[in-house]
Amino acid sequence: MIKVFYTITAFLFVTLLYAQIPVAPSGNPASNPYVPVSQYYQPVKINAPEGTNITLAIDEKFVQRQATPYAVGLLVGNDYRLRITDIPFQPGREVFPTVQVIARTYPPRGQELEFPIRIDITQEDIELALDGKFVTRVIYLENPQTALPVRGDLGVQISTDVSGGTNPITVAATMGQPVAVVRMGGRIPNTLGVTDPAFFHGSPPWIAFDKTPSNRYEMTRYQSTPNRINPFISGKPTIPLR
Amino acid sequence: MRFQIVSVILIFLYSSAVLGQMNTLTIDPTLAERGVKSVAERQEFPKQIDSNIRSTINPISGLQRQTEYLTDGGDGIAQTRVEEDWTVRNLETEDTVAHFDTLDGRTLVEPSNRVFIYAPRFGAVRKIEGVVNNAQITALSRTDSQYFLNVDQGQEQLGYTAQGIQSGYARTRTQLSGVEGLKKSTGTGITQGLGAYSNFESAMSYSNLLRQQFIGLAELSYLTEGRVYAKAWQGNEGIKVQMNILAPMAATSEEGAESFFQIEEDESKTSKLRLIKTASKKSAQPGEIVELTLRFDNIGTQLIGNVTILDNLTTRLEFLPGTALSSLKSGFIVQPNDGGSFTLRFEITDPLKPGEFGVIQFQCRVR
Repeated sequence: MIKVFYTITAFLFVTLLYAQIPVAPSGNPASNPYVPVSQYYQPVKINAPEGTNITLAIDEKFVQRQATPYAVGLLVGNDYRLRITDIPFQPGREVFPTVQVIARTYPPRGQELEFPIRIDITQEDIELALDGKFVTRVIYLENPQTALPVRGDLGVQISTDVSGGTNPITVAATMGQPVAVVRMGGRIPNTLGVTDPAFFHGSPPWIAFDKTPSNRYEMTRYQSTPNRINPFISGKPTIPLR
Repeated sequence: MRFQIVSVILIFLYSSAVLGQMNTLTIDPTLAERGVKSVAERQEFPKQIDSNIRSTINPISGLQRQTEYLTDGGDGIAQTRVEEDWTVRNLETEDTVAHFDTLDGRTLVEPSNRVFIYAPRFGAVRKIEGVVNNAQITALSRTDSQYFLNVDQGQEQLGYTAQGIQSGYARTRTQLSGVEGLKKSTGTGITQGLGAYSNFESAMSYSNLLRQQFIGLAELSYLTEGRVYAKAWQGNEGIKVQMNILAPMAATSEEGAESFFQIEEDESKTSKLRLIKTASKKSAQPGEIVELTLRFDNIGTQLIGNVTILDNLTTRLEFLPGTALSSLKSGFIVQPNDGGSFTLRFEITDPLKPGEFGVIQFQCRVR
């Protein structure tokens, strides 16, 4: 009986001991803010110089050309080969960049197409690639708390150049969350008439979204629920403050 | 016996009480800030928030990703305070607070709630590399390769005479294995002390003695020891020792109130201000206009005065001059802040009676 008593006492003591240990904190959400993404088509809007056309591949063949800006849904983690044609001041020439989405965004439900990842490919990028240079663009989601105090609606994406020995993803991670990588260089498809699977990276699937309107930097706004909250019980503020 | 049963019951009751307190343990401050006070509530937390923001909850940490959201309002890490001369300290970017004076001479600070606006903005980091440099490196490596193949590499093979040194090692191993062989054939009963050979470095001397059959049973231990060393030196086998040191873990916690203070406050004389902040949009593209509204209520039972509302706008909200409105007579000051935006200061002229409220509105452009 004494043994049973001591056994129960010891068990309760251990139980009490562990009950006093605080629950571990959840940790810093910024250290691991993402979870693996599977089969999510991240909306991406590709901007290129006016007049250029973009073509994506299906089954290792480039299909119908699309005018830029072009909104598509790309699987996270896959490499997509693009063909950019009708380049201003470069008649008959074309470049074949790759786009890789490395993280998804989490817009409010139903507004995914309103907030795609914006990828800007400039005329300078294209001409550098045609000149034999290798251009890497890392697109990042800007941290609002450390954002640059400049307007982001003036048609030019905020861009920073780094030197050759610097990892652009590391630099982008200091400014926010890297979400996509664009690589552009002298790689061209096999011209011998045979398939080139390595060039197309297996032609991963993608989704074509609605064609964007004429305004280059505006997507079609879908049904959006107004969220106006009327805080006034009586009267509306009328005194202008100067 | 009766004492034991009573003790068990008492311990069980105590343990149940402590285990019950697990749900009230302090949790992550970020969640606590949102009103979550217990572990149980934390588990239910994702169900309590707005359905539009729920998609951003990380299923691992249970926390909301706010990188894509503009946040404005509340009081940041450092608590805002007001000096006696009404100088405001620790007003950080994104903070929205109100301070007011009470009839008993105190100056109190009341933060607003936070508003979230989904407005992601994307930037780019570009790196340009020249392919021409790579071609030069390739050509150089070819030249070096041919040079060494024709001339230098042949000379280096002569230097492989070092292999002869390695074969010397093989001789050493041969002698050691000889020790093993002789050990097997030892059947002599002659006992002769070999205590001096406690180290296998004397393996050669061992061999001489063994040839003279001076080995005995007393030497077997040294032979065995030497054989073990020999095997270890051969590198084929080694002794592996694995130790797991398990230290007893103990965690103790002593919690208790050192002193109790009881504040008796007459509920009929409270001074309290409530500050509510809302935004006209939950999501916005860069360039869109968002209307922010601040409503302040005297929810106390006493008159409060010098009501001052401060909104230190986040970097990506640009105040539009000429859009500020107030329902009460108010002073208005705009100053640039550290984040490249503006701090708005509204000074309500008249005291606020219990139950009275005021509304301030202004517009911002999302950068």
